[in-house]
Amino acid sequence: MIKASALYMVIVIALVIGLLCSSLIVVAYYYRLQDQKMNRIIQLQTNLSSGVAILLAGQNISSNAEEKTLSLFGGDRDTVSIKKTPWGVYEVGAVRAMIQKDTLYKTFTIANEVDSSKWAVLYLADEDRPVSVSGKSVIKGDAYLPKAGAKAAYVNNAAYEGDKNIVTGKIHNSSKTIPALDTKRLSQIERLFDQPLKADTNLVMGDSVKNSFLSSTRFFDLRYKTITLSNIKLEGNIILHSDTSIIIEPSATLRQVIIAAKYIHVKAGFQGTCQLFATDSLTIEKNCNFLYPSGVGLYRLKSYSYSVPPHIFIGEQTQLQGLVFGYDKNFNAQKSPIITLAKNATITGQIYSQGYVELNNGVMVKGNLTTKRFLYQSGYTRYENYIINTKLDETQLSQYYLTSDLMPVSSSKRKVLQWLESN
Amino acid sequence: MIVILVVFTTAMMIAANVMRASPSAQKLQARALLNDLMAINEKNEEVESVTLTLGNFQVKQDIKNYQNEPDLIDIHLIAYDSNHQEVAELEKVLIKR
Repeated sequence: MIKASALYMVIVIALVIGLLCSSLIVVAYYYRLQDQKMNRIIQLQTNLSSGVAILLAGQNISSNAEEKTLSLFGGDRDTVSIKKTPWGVYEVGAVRAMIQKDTLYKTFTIANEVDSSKWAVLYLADEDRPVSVSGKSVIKGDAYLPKAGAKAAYVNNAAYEGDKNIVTGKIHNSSKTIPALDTKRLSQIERLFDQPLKADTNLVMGDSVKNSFLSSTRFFDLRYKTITLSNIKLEGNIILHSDTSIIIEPSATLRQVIIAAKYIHVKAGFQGTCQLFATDSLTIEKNCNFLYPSGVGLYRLKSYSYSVPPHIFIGEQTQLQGLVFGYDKNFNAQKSPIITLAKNATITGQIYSQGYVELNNGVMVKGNLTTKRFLYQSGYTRYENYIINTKLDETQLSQYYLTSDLMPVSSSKRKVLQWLESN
Repeated sequence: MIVILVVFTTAMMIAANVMRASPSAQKLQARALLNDLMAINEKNEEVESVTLTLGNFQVKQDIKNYQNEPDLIDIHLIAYDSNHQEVAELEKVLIKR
């Protein structure tokens, strides 16, 4: 005889089993969902890396800021869109990988590896005279020097006090002219001085403007209005253009932005990562700190009969990590570009001058310096091709340093210099 | 008794189906293996098409040029189980070293 409560117990047991079953189904559902999501993310990351590789090494990808969408392997789960934008002396890449509604993206700065066969701490054009070295000067690394070589000199009552070899490295003969800059990159820099077609003309101080490299570039065209950048934060895909001068105060925060103007003046104490391009003069006052990868370029486009030589002045104790170059499109030996490095200025990276580099006591170049001629001014005396109390040391440059394809020492191999944005 | 039997049978069927349909540990293991192998390939100077036996899996590594780009290669990895059934797949474009 079955007890009457048996049915009640059966219902309870069936309910318990039903609950267990439904929880099992729910757990399995979420497990499967998570697994699919995880799989999709791994697939997206793989596709993103493939996109980065295509941007870095693909020869059919032009640097024109146009987004190109492609299926990596002809499937439906491998869509990536890639974009390469010229960004001053460097390039910026943007890659997006998409599967259904999921998207992963990365933006990054692209730079070139250094060609070790061309690299040297110093390249000085051969003007049939030696380079004279005096005081506590150091030239550490391979150097391209005039055939007359390097000799110790006695200047300002001070003799040469460095290594007896003067150049601690291999010495090669330099040519009459210095190696040329890349014309393609120069023409891209030249376009920065063109008036942008679509641009904001008003920049409000006290604002913070940030623009992603996934979006199109935001231009600010300040026309003929001299502007002082103070208490402003500009970050990312932003280009500032002016037909006259731009003054940068230390209270301005600049990250990755490009500034192109006739004259640029950076006030003492400024710190940031940016690229500054001027056509006539560029002055950086003392105690400024430009972090890697920064770029400072003087690019004279037109020659004027009355004009003074284009001039970059880098102030005392200023530190700059990146590139400094001076270039005149219509080179005139009488008015060739001058790069002046004031006392104790430190450049970590490269300096290229089509004309002169003026050195002062305590200057340090950790990397490479390419110039036609050196200048040194002491009181009323002007010395040419003298290196006095200056340290040129390539060993202090990081082995991971990447250069721009603008520079003659760059190789064709490109790498990611800096990751900018990602999700 | 009959009700309990029916409920148990249904529960067992559900459990069996859930287990069968869930991603197996074998698949996860194969995916991890392919990711490791891809990471090794990224560091290697030379990579070539080869079939490897790694643990319980047989991995087919196929290398070809990526879309006529001289500096890019397409690495396609497929992992098979002991019954030669495909369990995981990974394809990536790498820069030639």
